Amino acid sequence: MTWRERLALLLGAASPFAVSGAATAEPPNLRMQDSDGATAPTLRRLDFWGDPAHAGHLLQLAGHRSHSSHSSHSSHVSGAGHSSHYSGSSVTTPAPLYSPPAPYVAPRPAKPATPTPLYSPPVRSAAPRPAAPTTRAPALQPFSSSSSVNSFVAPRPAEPSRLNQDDITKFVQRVQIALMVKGYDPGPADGDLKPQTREALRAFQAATGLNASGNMDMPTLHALGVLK
Amino acid sequence: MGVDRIEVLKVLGPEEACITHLPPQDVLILEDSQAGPVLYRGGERPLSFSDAKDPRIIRPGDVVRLRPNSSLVSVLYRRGASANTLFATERCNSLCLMCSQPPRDDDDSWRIDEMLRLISLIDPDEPQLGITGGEPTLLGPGLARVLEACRLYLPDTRLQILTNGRTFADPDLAERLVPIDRDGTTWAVPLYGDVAALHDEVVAVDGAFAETLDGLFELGRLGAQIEIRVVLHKLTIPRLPQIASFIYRNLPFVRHVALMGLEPMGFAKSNRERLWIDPVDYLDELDSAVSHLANRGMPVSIYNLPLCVLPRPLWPFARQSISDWKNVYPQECEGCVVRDHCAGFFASAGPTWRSRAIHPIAIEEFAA
Amino acid sequence: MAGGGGGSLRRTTDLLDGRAVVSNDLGAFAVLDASEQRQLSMGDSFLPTSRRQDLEARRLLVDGAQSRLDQAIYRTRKSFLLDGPALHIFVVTLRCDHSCHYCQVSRASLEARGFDMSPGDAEAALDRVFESPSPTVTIEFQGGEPALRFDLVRQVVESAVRRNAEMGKHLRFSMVSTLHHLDDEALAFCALHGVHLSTSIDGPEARHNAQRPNPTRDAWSRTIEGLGRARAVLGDDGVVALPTITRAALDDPVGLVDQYRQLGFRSIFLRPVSPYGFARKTRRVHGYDMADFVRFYEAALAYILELNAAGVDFTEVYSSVLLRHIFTPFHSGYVDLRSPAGAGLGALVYNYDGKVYPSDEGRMAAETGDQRFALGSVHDPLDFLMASPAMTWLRTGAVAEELPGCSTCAFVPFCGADPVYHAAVQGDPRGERDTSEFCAKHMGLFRILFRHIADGDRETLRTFTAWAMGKPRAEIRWSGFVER
Repeated sequence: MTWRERLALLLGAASPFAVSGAATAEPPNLRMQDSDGATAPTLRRLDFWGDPAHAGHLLQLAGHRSHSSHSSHSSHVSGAGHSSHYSGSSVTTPAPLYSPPAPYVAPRPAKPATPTPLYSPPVRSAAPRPAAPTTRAPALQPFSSSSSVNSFVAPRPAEPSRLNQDDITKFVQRVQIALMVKGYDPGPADGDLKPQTREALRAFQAATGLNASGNMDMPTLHALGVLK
Repeated sequence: MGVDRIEVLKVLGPEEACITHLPPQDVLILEDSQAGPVLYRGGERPLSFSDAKDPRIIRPGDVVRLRPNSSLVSVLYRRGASANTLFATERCNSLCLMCSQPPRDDDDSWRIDEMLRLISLIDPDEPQLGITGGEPTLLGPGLARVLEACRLYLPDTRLQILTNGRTFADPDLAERLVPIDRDGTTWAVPLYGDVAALHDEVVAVDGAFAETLDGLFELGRLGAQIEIRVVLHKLTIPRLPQIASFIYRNLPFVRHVALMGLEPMGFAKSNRERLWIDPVDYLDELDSAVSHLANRGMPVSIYNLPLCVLPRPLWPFARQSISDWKNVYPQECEGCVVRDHCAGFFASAGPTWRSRAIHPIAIEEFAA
Repeated sequence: MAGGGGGSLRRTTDLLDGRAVVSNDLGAFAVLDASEQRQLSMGDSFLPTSRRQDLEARRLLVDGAQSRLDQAIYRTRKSFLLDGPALHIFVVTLRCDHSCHYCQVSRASLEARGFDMSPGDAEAALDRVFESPSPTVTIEFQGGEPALRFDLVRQVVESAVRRNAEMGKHLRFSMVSTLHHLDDEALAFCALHGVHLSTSIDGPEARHNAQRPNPTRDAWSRTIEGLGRARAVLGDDGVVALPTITRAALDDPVGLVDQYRQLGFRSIFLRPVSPYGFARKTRRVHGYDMADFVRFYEAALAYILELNAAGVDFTEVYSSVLLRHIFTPFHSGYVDLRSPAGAGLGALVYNYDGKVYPSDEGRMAAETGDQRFALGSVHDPLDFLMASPAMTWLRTGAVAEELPGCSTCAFVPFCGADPVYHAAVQGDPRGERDTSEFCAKHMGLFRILFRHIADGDRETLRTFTAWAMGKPRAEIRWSGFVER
């Protein structure tokens, strides 16, 4: 007897879950079958929703299919310790059903926006690259010559030996401002790469899935949007 | 212009034209000459640019539509633009008070064929493509063909489809469309209230709220990726926190919530009296709603609002969401140190649509 | 109403201060003050517009047909059912060197024979574990003192991990222990496999030693010493503790909380003394009315809220369970508070003697002679256990929404049924609400929480939100809207 059938037998109408239908069956274990496009995937219909706080996957822009095809976001996540004596770290700390994928890193220096609130959150989903909100793009697209299309071409960074101290200070200042916009606290934006600024860099990098070095490396600068 | 019927063609520089997989009849080569840039098909005479249009408007990678007896070159797709969109139809089954693309009831099913053509010419490494209208699902099976073409030609391109969700109340439609590229497609659905009266008033259709919720259920049930959009204006602001709560409690399967500053286009202009509220006057409601969702692990963003108007704690939620081709930074922005991170303004936003709180942010504000 | 699609049946319960909670099966709620209740009784158009819209949005105005979304939310609230048994308790031995006055377990002495689980039974119990449909399972070791048979703990953990390689479940391990008998090797094993430890600390040393005597009369100091060693290996949060609240503790809620803070704990789980096992006999000394406990709880919670407002992250765990149920459509995972009840359906206890019980309380009742709760043997397949007469009997009291008293209570979507408690104490799984201490406790606690919610103090709501979402307080934006 399947578990649903057992519930129906024992609880009757007190179980709100239908017994039948291959379409509603959820695979009982976590072995993810990779749903490749080669064969038509079986249509899975969900009975109930999961906790968005556990979704943990990034809204991916492109590239590989995320395993969110079996996302815990849609299937149940049964919260925490299942305990009666309250053991475990916290009853409400969920045990994720899977490990989140490596965060997607945009191949271009586009503007991946991360919804990080002011207080450093755990690694969470990044917002999608925003498309035109209520845009209906008309057929005519009047591009002005000052179009910022070139923002997508990675600029060649100035060679370090040619930067004077003033340039460096100004650049660090821009980095500090960018961190503030993203919700991190690098301390006063004085152009000084001080420990607090490095900490803020590390926190930003960790939240965005970058290498948390505290250094102003290229991926970090792209993600901060300071290279124009 | 040198064409005898409507043509949709790919513009490429000469080097790329040599190595492209596209057949020559699909390609317009854009080349520099002493007389300036010229467009021509391989082996043919250059198309004349004699009329006023600035040829610099065309770039390699563009997909353009040329009409006979017209010098108008429509750029349907631009490589590298922040937002490329397929325009599915002008027809709509709603009549939102702030609609930026007022609907027309003509039969424009010719757009399906044009979209299919366009899809075959878009760069396969295009990260994201929008589909909008009108109401795209009114195309019925036509939309399925478009989505299938996207999956075929642009398998790595994320799709974002704007829809009011009402037609998805029919589970058959959802089952037809959602699985085509379930994980690569986001359905962006507007919600304007937590009670029928408010949502239906904004959408100007009785019963729309109930239909939209049924549609959201059908989409969610199939595991579709859904974004809820709330346009911020006088009718949605009063219950904005409650709308956020409604979304979390009833639509927790939604992946993202976008709270959007009002675009002064289309119907919004004539409805200004009913709609316009200075963003600086709704910051409490905005913060309350954003924080409610953020606290509960629901991704949330603020679109179309400049940083100077938003309080600092909300800056991490602000996105640079305005398509580059209509994105401006007016005079007031001169010298602002966060300009590079700011959404800026709609080009269409005149003085009556600008917050009184706009001001350039000086470096001194970060000095402490 | 419990039903295939769930209902928006509206229920109202008084908060005893002029306000009332109105809720429905979807778990939507509103706290109405006296004038709102009056207006609503006259007709919803008498309410101020925005309040009427609140109630309409939450489906609290009428008992109506449920939309497809409503039915999905109801199923979401009950989705724990599909996991089946997720908590699996292994009672590896009944022997213990303590003789705690209120012991629910009826432990056996250290030298006693025949009170240990056999390795064969332990493996068979693992068969049951892997028959469970739940993708996440928690294996919890209890006793007696499970550390006395750490060899069995080791066997079960290693075997589970090995067998899970093919099953792909997410395994969690925990152990309830006095910490006296966990040597460094055992702690290292716990660290390796992520075994969380839980221990009892009853308050100041004197009270702890008085209530929890061990042969050397130094229970407190050895527990504290064990705590230190465990934390060194498992981290500061590797061990949690909870007190058993006896009458002696009722007078000083603040002292108890401070004691826990002093010991470096960041949470406490306030539970009243249980009626099972020896506790019944010592009830005269240690027992009290549930009303006394509720008063104590209110004071303890108030103090904990003050601490949080002052920036101290300290959680009361039972409130966090209740608040998760109130503030979200998702269950907390706490199997002892749900409807349909977790007994058997959500948790299974594999006793040292090879018998399977639906809950800890079930096997405790068995130790004092009440055998009605046994589901079968560890060698019986899960389906057989679920079809046992005991399960059928308990089911009559397993669904709160069906029970008199619960079916009309506004707290029912957030609460639970406890057929084992009611059968053991009142004789029938359905129980009687008027004299049920389970009910008195929960009504008391829900009233306290809903009053706080309605009072709307920003700091309190921020703390409540943090607890409901399982996040540190610092990550909760204070300006977030909270419905009431």
